[in-house]
Amino acid sequence: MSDAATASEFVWIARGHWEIFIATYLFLGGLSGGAYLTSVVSSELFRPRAEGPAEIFACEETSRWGAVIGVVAIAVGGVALLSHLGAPLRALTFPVLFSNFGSWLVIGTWFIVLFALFVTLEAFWLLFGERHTDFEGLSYFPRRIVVWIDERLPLPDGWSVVAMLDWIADLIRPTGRARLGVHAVGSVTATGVIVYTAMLLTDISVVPLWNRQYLPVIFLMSGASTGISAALLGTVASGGGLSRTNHLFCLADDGLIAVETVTLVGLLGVLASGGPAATQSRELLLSGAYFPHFVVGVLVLGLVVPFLLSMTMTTLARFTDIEETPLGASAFTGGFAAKYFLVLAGGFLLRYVILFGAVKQPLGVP
Amino acid sequence: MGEQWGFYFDADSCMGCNACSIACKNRHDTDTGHVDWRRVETVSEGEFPDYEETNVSLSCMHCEDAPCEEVCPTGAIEKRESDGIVTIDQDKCIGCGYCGWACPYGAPQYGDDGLMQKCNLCLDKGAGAGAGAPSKNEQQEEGTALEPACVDECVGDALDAGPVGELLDKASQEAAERFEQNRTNVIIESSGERSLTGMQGVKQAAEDS
Repeated sequence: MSDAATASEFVWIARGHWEIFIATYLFLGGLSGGAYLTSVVSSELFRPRAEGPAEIFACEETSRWGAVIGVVAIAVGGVALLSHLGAPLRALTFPVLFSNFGSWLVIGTWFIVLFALFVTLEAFWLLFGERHTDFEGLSYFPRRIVVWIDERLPLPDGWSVVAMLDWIADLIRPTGRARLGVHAVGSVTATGVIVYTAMLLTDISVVPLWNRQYLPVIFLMSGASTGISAALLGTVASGGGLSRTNHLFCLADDGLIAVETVTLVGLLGVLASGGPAATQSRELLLSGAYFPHFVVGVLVLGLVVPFLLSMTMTTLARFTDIEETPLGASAFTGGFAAKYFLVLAGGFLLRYVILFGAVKQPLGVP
Repeated sequence: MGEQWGFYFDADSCMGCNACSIACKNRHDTDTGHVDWRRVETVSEGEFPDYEETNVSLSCMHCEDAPCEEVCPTGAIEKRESDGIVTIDQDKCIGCGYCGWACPYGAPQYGDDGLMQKCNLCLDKGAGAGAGAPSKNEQQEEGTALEPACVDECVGDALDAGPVGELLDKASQEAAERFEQNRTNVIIESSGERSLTGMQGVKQAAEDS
């Protein structure tokens, strides 16, 4: 990893201690937190105001997709994280082993543990319980898997794993203020997971690309944006692509994309006037080895195109009836799916270039 | 608190022969190829005939405020009170690579087992050795202290190791002042126009950014 280390007037320091698994983990960590936040917003803000069965269905599907994707993403991300370690089994003893609470790796581990608890419970409550026995919607696929297994288990007559899970879900399900409290604390842990993935990097002061002022904002915006995109991609697949819920989340996502883009441009500006490592990183991203990943993948396809696509669809939906026509409805559904897919791809590439474009400050020779 | 140990390096005497890095590899039986507890870098400037090269022998600087220790999640990295040497306890290391990013000098190395290993100022022999070893000061009093292999094999006497106080006695005033400004426990001697300033350069570049 020394494609930047060609200049001979400095002692360039080797980098590349983290490979693609960590980029994947950083992406999935942010996505997971964002998907949970999407689920909570849909449940707490949109669902109470939803009118009509189609809109209620879209809200509930979004909530469920957000929670289910949150669980899957944090689980896969956790495996990706562990797989890069030299001693992954030893790392599983973290409650005892991780003693340096000043390290963001330790702070982040506890955020992940707490968040994993909240997001798993949320998915459990949204998949199981008395009111979910007549389930409809693609987001119920984990329940379908459990039902399928249940039907094949050699259990005594009258025994059912699904029935037991429904009973437990209703037994421990919070209601009213308790539910709001659970969602509030869960949202704090979700935000913590998203932001920690940036703080982990920005604690490394010798890598100017990992800027403490800009990167946490960029990762927070990207985490929330990819979370919305992943959850709403599910909702679109479930048939809720033309719902008001989808439109509102899509607009919220556009706001996040706008802030993320401005902050990214700000970071590039700071790098331009930084030291040699900052300049190297900037060149790697804008014209060097990672130009296709960053300029084409992150900036154009991951931010600008989805934003323009969304703005176009929003304008057409607001001022024309094209969304009502069969062809228009298909085009809009495909457009939303394309937008969310591009945001997800861009989100992954963002983590990739932030990791692989990192250059450590060389030892200076005045 | 025991006397702090460190290295002394005279860039004017280093010919870049790599005897130091090979001697280190031999003594600690480190993995071939990608694991270098000590390495020699060459910095160049200008064009022929106005051309100058400086060889720099680099290892762990045993920093006063070791950034690797600050980020290590398990506390496997320790800046020892007894002799100032930064050690790694491989039985507590999870091989996360965070220290590798935090170190401004590229000192942490990762062997085939994925665990961190690095210079321990020859507290002991072998890969990953050093953690829990008696203080270098005690070893010296008992006459059991190993002279670091890099110092032992250095052809031009460019490298030395010992209590920092003793090393400062042999250092020039410029090198001593440079050391006081940047407490890395490595005293760097260089009379050339170009002098490697270690942490100073890093700090300056970081501030610039």
